[in-house]
Amino acid sequence: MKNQSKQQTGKKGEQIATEYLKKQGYKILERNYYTNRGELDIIAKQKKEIIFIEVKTRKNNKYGLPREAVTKNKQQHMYKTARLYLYKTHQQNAQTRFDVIEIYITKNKTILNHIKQII
Amino acid sequence: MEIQKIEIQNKNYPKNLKEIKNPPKKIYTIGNQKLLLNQAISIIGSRSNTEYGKLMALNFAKTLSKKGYTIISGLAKGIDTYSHIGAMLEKGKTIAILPCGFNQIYPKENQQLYEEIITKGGLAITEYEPNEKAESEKFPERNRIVSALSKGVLIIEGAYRSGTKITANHAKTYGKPIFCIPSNITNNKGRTPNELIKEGNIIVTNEYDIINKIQNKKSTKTQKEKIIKIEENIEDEYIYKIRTKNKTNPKYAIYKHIKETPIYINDIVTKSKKDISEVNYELTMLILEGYIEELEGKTYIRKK
Amino acid sequence: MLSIVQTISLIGLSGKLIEVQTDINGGLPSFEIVGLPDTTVKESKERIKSAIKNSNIDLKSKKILINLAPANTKKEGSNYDLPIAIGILIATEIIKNPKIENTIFIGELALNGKINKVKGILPMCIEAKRLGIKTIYVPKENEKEATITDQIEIIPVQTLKELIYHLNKIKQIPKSEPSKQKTAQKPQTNNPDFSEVKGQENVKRALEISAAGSHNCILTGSPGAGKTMLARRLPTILPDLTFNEALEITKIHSIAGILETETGLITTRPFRTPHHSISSASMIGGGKIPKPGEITLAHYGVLYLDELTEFKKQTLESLREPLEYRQVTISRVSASLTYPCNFMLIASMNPCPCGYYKSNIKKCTCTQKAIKKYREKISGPLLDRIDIQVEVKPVKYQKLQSTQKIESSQEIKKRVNKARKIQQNRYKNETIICNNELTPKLIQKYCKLDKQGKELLKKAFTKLGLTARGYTRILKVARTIADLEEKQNIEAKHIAEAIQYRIY
Repeated sequence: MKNQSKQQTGKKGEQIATEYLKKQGYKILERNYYTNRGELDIIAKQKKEIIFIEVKTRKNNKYGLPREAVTKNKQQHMYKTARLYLYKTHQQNAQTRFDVIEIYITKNKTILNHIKQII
Repeated sequence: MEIQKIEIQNKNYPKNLKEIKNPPKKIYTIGNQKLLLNQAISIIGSRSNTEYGKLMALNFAKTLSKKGYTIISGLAKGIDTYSHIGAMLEKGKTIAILPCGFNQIYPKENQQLYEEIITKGGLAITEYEPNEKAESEKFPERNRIVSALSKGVLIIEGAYRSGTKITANHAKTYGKPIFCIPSNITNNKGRTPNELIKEGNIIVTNEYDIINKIQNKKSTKTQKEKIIKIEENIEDEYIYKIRTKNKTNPKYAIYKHIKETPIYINDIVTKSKKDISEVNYELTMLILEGYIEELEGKTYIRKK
Repeated sequence: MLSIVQTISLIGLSGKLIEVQTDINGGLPSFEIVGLPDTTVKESKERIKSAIKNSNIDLKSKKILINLAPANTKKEGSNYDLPIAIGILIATEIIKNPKIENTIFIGELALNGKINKVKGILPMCIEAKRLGIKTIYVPKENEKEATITDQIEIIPVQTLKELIYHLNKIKQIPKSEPSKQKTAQKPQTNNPDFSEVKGQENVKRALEISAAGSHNCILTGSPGAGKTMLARRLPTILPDLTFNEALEITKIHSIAGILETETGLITTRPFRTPHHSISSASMIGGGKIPKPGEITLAHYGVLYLDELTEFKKQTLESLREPLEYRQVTISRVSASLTYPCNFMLIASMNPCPCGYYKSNIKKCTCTQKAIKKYREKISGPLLDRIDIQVEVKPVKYQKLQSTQKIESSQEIKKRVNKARKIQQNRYKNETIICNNELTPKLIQKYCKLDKQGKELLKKAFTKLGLTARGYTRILKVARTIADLEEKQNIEAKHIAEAIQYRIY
C-alpha cells in the first residue's frame, strides 16, 4: 500500500464510491466525464435527479479534510461541466444535485462519507 | 381724571371770561377747578427762549406762585413750559390753556407736563372738544383766554414782531396791565419786551412790580430797588419734587426693593415674595414710567 | 412553479407594496434576485438558504429566480429575507395552499432560521393598513411596536419553522393582542424636574411661556450659569402627546433605527442635543439613503442647540426653511423625500467669546469689536424665528441653601396644558395650532389690544427702541401670557411681561 501512487489511490477511491452508489440504488450514468471545461468523477441518477459527484480519497488528514479540497474553483468547474452535460443530453430542466464523496483509506478500515448538495 | 364741562350759563363759568367780546360758549376743564377762584397772572414768551428767559420764567413763576398767585400759560414749548414748572412748586399752582382737545395734547413733548399739572393740583382748560387737534387758527383763540382769565400779563421774551407781541396787544384790549422783563439790547429774543417797555408798558425787575400794580398798592423804596432773588436749580427741584415725587409711593410693590445698588431680577422675586410674572410686569412699567433703569444682566437701579 | 408573496417597502414615512415573485425551475442550481436589490438584499440569498436548511427542510437544488416588483425601484434592507423565503417555500410546495391574500411578510432571517427584528415596523404596518392589507407577519421582537397599529391582524413569528407549520395549518400562531395604548401613557417619573432647580425664576417663567405657546427661545449667560440644566427640563413641562403625535414620533424613531425593542409607543417628547460640529446633512437629514436628521428626530419635541455660535454657519442656515415650513424635503437622484420637523428650538449662547461679559464671577477679556462680531454670528433670519430671550445667571449661594418650596414640573405643566388647549380651541378653524405659528394677518385677528395696551406698546417703542419685528414677537408672546392666565383679551400687563423677554 505504501507504494501506491496518488492516482492509484484516487482510482481506488472512485471504485469504492461507485460500488457504494450502486448499492444505494443509484444508476451510474457516466464515469470520468471529461470536457474542456473540466471533469466530473461520477454522474449518477436517482429517481428523477441527476447527481454530479466529486470523489476525494485520502489516506490521512495531513492536508485537511477531503471535502475541503473541493474548492470554490473546483465547484465552478463542476458546475460548468455539468451544464455542458445537461445541454448535450438535452436535460437542461432536470432536477440536479452536486455531491462530494469522501473516502478515507487507512491500514485497518475504509470510511466513506457522502455529502449531499454542496451547492 | 374726569373732564368737566362748564357752559357759559353755568354759575361756575369764570366771570372775567364771560366779560370779553366773543367768549367761548363752553369750556372743558381737568384738574383742580378751585384755581379759577384764585387771582392769576399770565406769563407768555418765546418758544425758543434763551437761558436768561428760562431763568426769568422759572423764578418769576415760582416766586409769584409762592405769593399765592396762580400762573396761567399755554403749555407751549419754551417760556410757557418753564412758567408752569416754576408755578407748580408753590401753592399758587398753574393753569394751562390749551389750543387743542385733552386727547391731542400739543405740543406732544409736553404730554407728561400736562399730566403732572392736572394730577398735582394744577388745572387745564380748553374750549375744544377732547379729540380736536391743534391748528394754527386755534392759537390766537387760545391766547385770548390766557389774557382774559388773568389780572395781568408778564412778557418774558419774544422775537421782533413775534406772536408774543400780538398776544400782548390783545391783552391791552382787555385792559390788562402788561409787565415786561427787560433784556439785553443785543438779545434777539429781547426785542418784544424791550419794545413794549418803550411803548409805555411796565418794566419789571422783581415780583413786587407786578403784585403791587395788581393790588393797586404803592411799592416801598426797598421793593422798588429789589432785583428778584434767583434760584438756579428750579428745574431740578421740579423733577425731584413733582416728577419723581411719586417715587416714594409708586403703585408698584416691588419698587421699594430697587435702590441705588443694582439688584438682580430673581432677587427681587425672592425679596418681594411676588410671582415672577408680576415682577416682570412691574419692572416694565417702572422702566417705562422712568422710575428705574435696567442695567446689563437683568439688574435694576433707581433712576436719579 | 410560480409563487407571489407580498411585502412592503418604505420611502421616508410612506410605503409601497412590493410583490415577491418566485419562479422555480429544474436545471443547474442557481439563485438570482432581480428588481434592483441593494447589497443587503443580494446577500439575503445565503441567509435564506441557511435558514431553510436549518429549519430541517430539504430544499433540493433548484434554479430559483426572485423578482421584486415593481422592478424599477431600488429595494433596500433586510426585511425582504422572510417574504423571499416564504416565496421559495410556496413555490417548491413545502408550504401548501397558504391563505395569503391581503397579507404581507416582513422580517430578517438569521442563519439558524430565527426571524430577526427590522427597522421601521410601525410605519410599515400603518402604511400597509392604509394600502388595504389585513394581516401582517412580523418578527416577534417587533410585536410591541407593530401592535400599536389597530384594526389589522398582527401575527408575531419567531422562527421560520414555526411559520411554516402555521401556514401549513399544523400549528397556529396566535395573533397578537392589539396594544392597549390608545392614548400616550404617562411618561416615566425619573425625569429631571423643575422642582430641583433653585432660583432662576425668570428663566423658568420664560420656559413656561415658551412651552405654552411653542415659542422658540434663546438662553444667554456665562458658562456654568445653568443654561443646559434648565433647557433639559423643558420637555417635562411640555403638554402630553396626543396619540397621533406619539405615533408619528414612534414611526420616525423606528425608521431611524433607534427604537428600543421593548418600547411600544414613544410617549415622551424627544429632546435632541446635537453637538455643534454636526454637518448639515445630519442636521436636516440626508445621506445616500435619505435618513431623518436631528430636526426630524426632534419632531413634536425640542431641538437644543448648545453654544449656538459654535455651529457652522451653513448648518444654521439650513435650519431656516425647516423652521418656517415645519417640514424638510430632501432630494436625491432616485427620489424626493419629505420628512416632518415640527420642533421647538431652544438655543444657548454665551454673551461674548470668553463667556464672562458683565459677569460678576470673572472678568471679561474680550474687546468690544470681538463681542460685536460674536453677536453678529447669529444671522437675522434665524434670530427672527426666536421670540423669547432670557438671561441666565448662576444662582447665588444663599439661594441654593434656601428651603423654600419650589414648583414641580407637574404643576407648571398643568398651566401649560390649559394654555395649549385654549389655543387649540381658538385656532380650530385655522391652519395653525399654537401662538408661535401666528402670521401677521392672524395676529391682527387674534391679538387685539385695549387702549391701555396700545399706549403701553407705543411707549415701549419709543423708550426701548423696538422694531416692527419686535412688535409682532411681543404680541405673540403676550397672547401666550394671556392664555396662561386664561384671559380672553390681552391686557397691558401681559404686554409688559412680554417686553421683559424681548430679543435684544
